[in-house]
Amino acid sequence: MGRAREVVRGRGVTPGQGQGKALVSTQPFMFAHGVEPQSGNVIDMRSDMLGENIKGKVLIFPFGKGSTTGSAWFLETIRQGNGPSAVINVETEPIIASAIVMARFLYGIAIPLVDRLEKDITDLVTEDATVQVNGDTGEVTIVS
Amino acid sequence: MILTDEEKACLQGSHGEANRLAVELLVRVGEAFGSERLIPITSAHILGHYGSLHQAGIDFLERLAEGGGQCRVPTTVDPSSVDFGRREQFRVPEDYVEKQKRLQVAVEKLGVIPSWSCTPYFAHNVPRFNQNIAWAESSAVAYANSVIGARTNRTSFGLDICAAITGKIPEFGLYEEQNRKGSILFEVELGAFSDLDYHTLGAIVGRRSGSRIPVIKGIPPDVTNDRLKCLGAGAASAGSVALYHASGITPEAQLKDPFDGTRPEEIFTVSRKDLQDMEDQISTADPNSKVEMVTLGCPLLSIGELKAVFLKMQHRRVKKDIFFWIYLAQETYDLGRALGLVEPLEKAGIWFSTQTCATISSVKVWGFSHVMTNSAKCALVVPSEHNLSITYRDTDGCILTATEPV
Repeated sequence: MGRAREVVRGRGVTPGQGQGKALVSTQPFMFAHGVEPQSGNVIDMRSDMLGENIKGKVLIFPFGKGSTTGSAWFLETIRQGNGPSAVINVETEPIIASAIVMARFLYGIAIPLVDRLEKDITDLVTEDATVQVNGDTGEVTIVS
Repeated sequence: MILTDEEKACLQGSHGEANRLAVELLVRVGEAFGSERLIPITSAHILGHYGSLHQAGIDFLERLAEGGGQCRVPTTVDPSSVDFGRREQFRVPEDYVEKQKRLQVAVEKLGVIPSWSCTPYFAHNVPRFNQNIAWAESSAVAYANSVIGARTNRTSFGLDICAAITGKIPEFGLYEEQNRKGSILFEVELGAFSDLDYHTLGAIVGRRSGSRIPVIKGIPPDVTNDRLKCLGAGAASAGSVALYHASGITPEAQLKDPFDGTRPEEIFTVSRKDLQDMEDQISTADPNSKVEMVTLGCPLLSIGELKAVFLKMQHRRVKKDIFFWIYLAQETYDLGRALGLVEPLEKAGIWFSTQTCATISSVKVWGFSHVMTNSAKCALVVPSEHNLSITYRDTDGCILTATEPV
């Protein structure tokens, strides 16, 4: 679509501001054995993001799946400096939300998490679009 | 969320740093789920293995321990990544030993019962029907919800220990009656069941259910808890089944219509052929390649299952060119030893390991490429990065492959 500075409203689950290139999966996403913490590479053989790197990206996926240890895998990825700059879900779940809350406690890293957007974000972002996420207000801005 | 005065005070730090962190995490996640309040729990079961928790997990548990956190409800812990008593035998890398030790110290400081078992419902932490509990470990969650009728979501790492030290969890999902009814039906037509069939049926149910709640008809009324353990583990690992109802077997299905008067969204019949197809899918190995290791005990072997292995192993010993490893809880090992089941098996070449299991320990260092197991969960959760191929057989098949007559 590419219309500059389109703003989409959602629900801010965790506070903070983040900006980065969009990395979009249309499938449920798994951190446990799905992302390598020491690199941020997606290693889940079944993921449509296999081979991509999540570091600094605005990570967009419908919801989390897989083992309940996923929150530790995600937290470790953040600890090693390889976390995303923001996360956008259709509907978030505890694995994702708890990892982000723990990251702020432990490492002072705030990653905004927004879900329930009023529009389907996957229709709005093109490949390599830059997206801004405001976790305080729940606003997502497609910059370019 | 509507918080009590005590919870509000906790958030201000009145009950120390650990409680402040814990309540904040519970509230943040609760709010994400539209939960209105925190509810009391009577039991917790947490994760504590380095293989998945990494340094970040150590940081979190140590932070809570240093902040004065203490479990307020009986809390057990899932298996460890290291069997400290057998670290040389199993070639555990030094960093695993060191990191797991730190987790062990933190867990014990927090007042957790150091059970290191994925079957807390068999010992140390048995919930009652209708109790709210906060358990991690997907196979134990399936057992507690389904077989016992206690209530828990699949509690993720972090929330588990925060629930334990506050004695609370946000109310959402399976804590609420209306979210516990079945939505799809499996009609099982098998006649006699083997031990493997429960694992395989679990995998079929899990794969087709996803996160929906299945109702299973056709399980024999005399099914043992050991077998329901295996059914739930398969369903929880092939899908994300946290609760199933088995007609005539599980308590909620006995008390009322598990569909609550509604029609199932989908009905599947499960035949012997479906089981065979799933067995073939779970086995990924080239049948001509050599099995290097055979493992039993996922979930950890019960005393009844140990006895069955003992009986099958009469006048047999482990072949020279194969490893045969059995994982079980410490108390099961001790009981087996007292009963005279363990020593003859060890003499026959079986390696036992307690407090850990094949899927979360450092098995990778052995460089196996072909492993045999009788567990659908073990086969399905072996991480893809290990490049292991699996042969999936019943317990007798595993024993016959690993051993030869004396």
